[in-house]
Amino acid sequence: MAATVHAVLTIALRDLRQRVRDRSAIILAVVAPFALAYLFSVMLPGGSAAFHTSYAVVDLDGGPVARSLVNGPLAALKEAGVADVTAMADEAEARAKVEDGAMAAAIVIPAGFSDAVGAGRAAELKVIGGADATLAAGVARSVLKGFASGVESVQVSIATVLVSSGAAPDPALIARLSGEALAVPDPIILADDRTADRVASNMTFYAASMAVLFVFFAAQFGVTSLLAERRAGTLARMLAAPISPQTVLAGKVLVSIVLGVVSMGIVALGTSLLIGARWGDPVAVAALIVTTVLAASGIALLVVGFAKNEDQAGGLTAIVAMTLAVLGGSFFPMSQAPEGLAQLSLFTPHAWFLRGVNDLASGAGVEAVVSSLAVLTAIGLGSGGLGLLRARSVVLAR
Amino acid sequence: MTALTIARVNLLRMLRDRTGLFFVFLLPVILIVVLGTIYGGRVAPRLGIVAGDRGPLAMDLEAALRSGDLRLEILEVPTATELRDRVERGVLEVGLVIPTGYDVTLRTGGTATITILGQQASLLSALREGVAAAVAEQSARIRAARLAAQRGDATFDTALITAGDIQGTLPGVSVTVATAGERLFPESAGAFTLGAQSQLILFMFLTSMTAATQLILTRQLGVSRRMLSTPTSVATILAGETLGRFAVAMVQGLFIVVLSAAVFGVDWGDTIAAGLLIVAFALVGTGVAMVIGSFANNADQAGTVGVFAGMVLGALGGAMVPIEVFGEPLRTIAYITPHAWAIAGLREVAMRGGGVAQVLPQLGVLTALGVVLLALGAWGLRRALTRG
Repeated sequence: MAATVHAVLTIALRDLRQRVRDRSAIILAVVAPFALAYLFSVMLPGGSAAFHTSYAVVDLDGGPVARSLVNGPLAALKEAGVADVTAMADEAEARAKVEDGAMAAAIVIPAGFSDAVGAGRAAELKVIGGADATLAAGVARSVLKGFASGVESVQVSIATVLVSSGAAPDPALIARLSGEALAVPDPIILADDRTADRVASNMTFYAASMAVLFVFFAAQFGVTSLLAERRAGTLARMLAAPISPQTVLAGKVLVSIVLGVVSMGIVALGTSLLIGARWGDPVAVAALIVTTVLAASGIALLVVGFAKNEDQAGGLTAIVAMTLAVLGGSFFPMSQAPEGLAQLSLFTPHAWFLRGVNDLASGAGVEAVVSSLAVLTAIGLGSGGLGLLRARSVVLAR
Repeated sequence: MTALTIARVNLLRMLRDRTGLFFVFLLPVILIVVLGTIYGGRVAPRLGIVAGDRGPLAMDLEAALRSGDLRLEILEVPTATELRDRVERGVLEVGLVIPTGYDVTLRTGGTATITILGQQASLLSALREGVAAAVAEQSARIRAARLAAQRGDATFDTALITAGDIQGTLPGVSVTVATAGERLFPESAGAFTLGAQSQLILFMFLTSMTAATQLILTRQLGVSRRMLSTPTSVATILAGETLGRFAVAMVQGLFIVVLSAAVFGVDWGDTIAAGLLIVAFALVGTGVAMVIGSFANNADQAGTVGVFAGMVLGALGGAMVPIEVFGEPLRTIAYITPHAWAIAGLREVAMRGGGVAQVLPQLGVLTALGVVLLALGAWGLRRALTRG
């Protein structure tokens, strides 16, 4: 037993030493994921989820209703941190700001607005939205419409009573009705509920997605060397010694696992220390990394079983790794994908690893990622088991 | 003639490499499809609704949200637990729970509480406005109906209908929306257009990087020296190798353009302008391949570094994420890459109907860069061939 362990370790150590000297391996396993994660996170400042916009407000009216709009809902937007609200004196100036993109939208309160509202005449508010700021313009319009509904609410009540009762629109009655209408309490309450954050920050997402993309390249080095050894004839020589094929396989798989863990570990540690990624609970992250490496090594072993030589194995691994990465959401967050694609992504280890990292964003521990760990382990054992069966024949065939 | 033969061999080598075929032809198409499916056409935030109640008032509110100003994409979710899960995962930007008994509560004078769930404070408060506007409108009708019913002028239901009619015709306060400026990506651009343009550029360059390693091998295996021993001039070999790499880039480029146009309906715009841009970019790719192929000596390392560099330049040049979402100064720095110029040109042609005249700057930059790189590569290869 001790002799077998010794043999496995000797094979693994020799391979690892060789890999450390190989610059391509270091580039693929460490430099590439790190650099791409950094680049992506720099290119997308603030993250796609943050929403902040800017409005120009042109109050050409200055009356009481206009002031209640500016000091009410518009001031509230500013307070809630949704938008910067800048007062401007001139509509043309505001429009120019919107056109050149300095402001997302302009809100114009035309002259005579307060008078029109007071007299029950048609009044108009204007939104000038930037061509690319559809959401910002939509928000502005919603705010104004909400305000308008409030203003109209009393008018609707009075008119409904007048129509229903058939009473004449006598000023005294209207005055009384408007008092009664205001006294009716709001029947619907909109209650806010902030949910837990289970989406990793941009930086963390790209660090994790690049780590899982490149771990497939790192992990392949261990098992593909089997094919190289077969070609060079060193495999046959190893087997001539009192070493079983299983021992050789175990040594190679160990190399894959170590390379994978080192690659992901360095990326996780490096991005945390140098560029502010927040991976979350270290124990849970370590568990996710180990199970993901298991899955990557298993898949690499399976691929090796189907390849004739190490060039082909390298090519096949690259194909499998890229396809899984694209479908698994390493390049584009799957939360944005339509249902069908999102379901499809759950067949990839990438999706489960990234899901785990996202689950940790709220500060949860290992218990939050149990399903990810289970699926990743299952993928690793399943593909690795099949791979072992095929790889054994590779070894036995020398 | 000999040059053409050398070029043909280069092209054949690419087509016989099955792994290479995946990266040259299949992967870009997969990426175009995935990109188009994820981002194509959908700009609206997603709102999930749990309707505990399917009464007329609940349905009315849902309909108002559907036709609301935020143009939210509305999805019905079966349970509140599932809604929370999806909001937490960012699958839905915002969630709404309309409580069970919503209609009954409102009909009988009670107060209904709608819960709005969101993960991100700023986006939640923005989207909240859209929901609040729809709620305020319904709320105004209900208040009017309650007042009329309370005074005994009509039943709640009749008054509610009256209030709805009045709300529709009241002069009231209207909100008009005008649009200023030009859209960055016109809505007419198909779902797959942006993706097809960027993947074309990303992969033409990546393929050139791979083609560079073939040149290194050709040199190292002594193929070029053996060619020289035949009555073939250095100039012919140079022309052949250059033409070969150019053909590889063009075959891939045309494949992506034709396939995306035929299958995904991508409109590339003016054929001549788009064609010239692709040719100019292929020149740049060929130039880079010739330079690396002439000066590098380790094919393995050149391959790895080349693909890596291709991805970094692609990312920086806006071939992975549109340059428009970059912050400054990256948006300016991006133009040190040929990718940024090529994509800017293709956008101009496909989305703003530009012709050759409109993309002259991009064509100029790309052609100049291509010529400089080609000259450098040719000089390097000639040196490598005549020295050895």
